Parts: sequence; C-alpha cells; structure tokens
Amino acid sequence: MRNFTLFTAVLICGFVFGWLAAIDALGFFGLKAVAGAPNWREWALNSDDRTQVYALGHFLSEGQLPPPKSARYFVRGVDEDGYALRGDCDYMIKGPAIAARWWTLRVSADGKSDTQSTLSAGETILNQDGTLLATISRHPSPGNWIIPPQSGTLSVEYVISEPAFNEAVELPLITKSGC
Amino acid sequence: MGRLLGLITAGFLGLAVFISYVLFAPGILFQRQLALVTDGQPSNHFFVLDATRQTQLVASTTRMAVVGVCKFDLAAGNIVLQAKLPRAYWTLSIYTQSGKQVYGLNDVQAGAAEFNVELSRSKTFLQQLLANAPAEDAAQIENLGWHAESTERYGIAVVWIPLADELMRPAIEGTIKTSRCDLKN
Repeated sequence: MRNFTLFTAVLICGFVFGWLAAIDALGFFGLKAVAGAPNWREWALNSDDRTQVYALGHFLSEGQLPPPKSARYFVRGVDEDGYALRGDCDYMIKGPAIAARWWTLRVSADGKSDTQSTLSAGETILNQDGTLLATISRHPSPGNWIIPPQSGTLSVEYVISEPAFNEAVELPLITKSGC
Repeated sequence: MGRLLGLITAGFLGLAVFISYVLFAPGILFQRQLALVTDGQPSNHFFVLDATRQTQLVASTTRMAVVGVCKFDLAAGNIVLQAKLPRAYWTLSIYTQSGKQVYGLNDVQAGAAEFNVELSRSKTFLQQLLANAPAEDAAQIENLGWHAESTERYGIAVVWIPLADELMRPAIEGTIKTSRCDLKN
C-alpha cells in the first residue's frame, strides 16, 4: 500500500512538473535574442526558427492569432540600465528611422493586451531626419506621448509590419528620465 | 530499484505531458477564445470585429486598425473569399485552426483592391501519391484569382487594415463589409 501511494505521488509529481514546464516553455522558449539590441527579444515566428512552435503556442494559448509571417514582433521589459520598466517612472524612447510599411509601439501592463497604450506609424510625429522620439509618462508630455496603463511593471512591444527586405532592423532605446 | 522505476516513469510522464501540452493545448485554448470573440458568428461568413475584440484576437493589432474575419470550414467544399478592400495598406492572412499561417497577401502583391482567393483543403500524402496527373488539379481550379490550401478543415482568414486616424474607421469598415466569404458553387 505504501509503495502504491509513493508511486502515485511520483506520477502526480511527473505530471505537474511536465505541465508547469510546458506553460513556462510557452512563455519564454519562443523568444530569441536580437543582435545589437541586448534588451530586446524577438518572438521566433519564422518557420526557420527551431523554437517557432513555442512562439506560436505562446500567442495561441493567450487566445490570440500569431502575427503574420511578414511581421516582426519584439518585446522588452527593462530599460537601458537593465531595470524593470515601471508605470510610475518616465521613459524616453529614441529610435532610428524605420524602413517598414507600418509599425506599432505598445506599452502593456505585463503584456496584457486588454490594458495597453499604443503609438503607431500613422499617428506619430517623426523628427526631420525620420527618427522617433516618444515619452512614456503618466504626466502630459509634448510630442509623442504614451500613457502607461498602470503603475506596476510594464512591457513594451514593438511590431514591425513588412520591414524593408534585407535590411537590419534597428530598435529604439528606452531610457529612464525620472520617477 | 522500485524508486528508480518510479522516477523513470515520472520522467517519461512529465515529458509526455510537456509535449502534449505544447502541441495541443494552445490550439484548444485559442478555439475557446475565438468562439468568445466571434460571439457565435457562423462559419463561412465575413464580418468586421469591433476595436476591443480585434485586440483580443489578433496579437499584432491595436485599436487603430480595422480587422475583418472569416471563420471557414472546408468540410462542404472550397471557399471563395471575395475581398473588397480600400486603396491603402492592408494584409490578408489565412491561418489553420492550429494557428499556422498558410497564406499571406498584401495590397502591393495583390495590385487590386477587389480580388478573389479560393481556399481548398490540401491533399494528404496518400492522396498526393494516388493522384493521376498534375492536370487533374489544374482542371479543378478555375482561373478566378488566387488559390490557397489549408492543411486543416477549420481555419480563419483575417484582413487587417491599419488606421492613421480613428475617424477613418467607419469608411474603411463600410468598404470591407461588402467582402464575402462563401462556399464555392
């Protein structure tokens, strides 16, 4: 009887471990590092990526369709100093000109799509040289202003639709300007 | 010996659960969300999502876009998507039920704002082996536009049009609402 109980407990442990590991894997295994931008991660949506199944599974398990193959989807949760992005701090987003048909910058509360503030190509005022300057702040700011959806931790998602072919994507810097 | 056997069994069970969850659970969870977001809309019918629901369903979109959707079921035959889109940037993506994108098109590639895409079920490996000649396939596809094949019976076609201004939404919605997604006669 004791052996049976022990065996059952071990099986339950195996089941729970496999289940939790799978949930964790869907959350992180599909993310890959971005060359030249250590604070950004990119969802591996290309069929050449070995971890594509995790990236697709991540979106589907959130009840969402994955971005189309023509898009690139970047995420980050830290500023340039490596500290977590927080809604009660102000941040400056500075990025190069983007050679793409469309892009969207989204600030979410821990990646939740129902609490988000966005800035997209159509509504953004770019500098004369095409570079992007925007502010994440709870207080009104001149220019491109993104209101953080909450005061807790934030994640920033940057979706580029149909970037210029064969051109490396340069991602914006996010620097804390105050708290 | 008994403990070792228990650990090995637990390890294999954990691995089986891991693989099963990663491969199958996301599709099931997505189906549940799709049913909620589309709110009982029938299959093979084109409709436009409201701004809130579109962000719940399409990961890459925001409220500043218009999203039109057709849930398709290829059980009864091929589907023809008759798209009527504005002269602006748009994308059409066709996904299988499991979230695999099988087709993608944009305004530049299409070169027209009105076009048809015929969607059919792709042949299984066995059917491909038993097919007589390539001409057999060609004869079945009429020259009415583009053609896409889905590896699964169920899926979803998504038209995405980003908006530069929220005020453009009614006009864009009015244009794409006339799109159709019907069984091929």
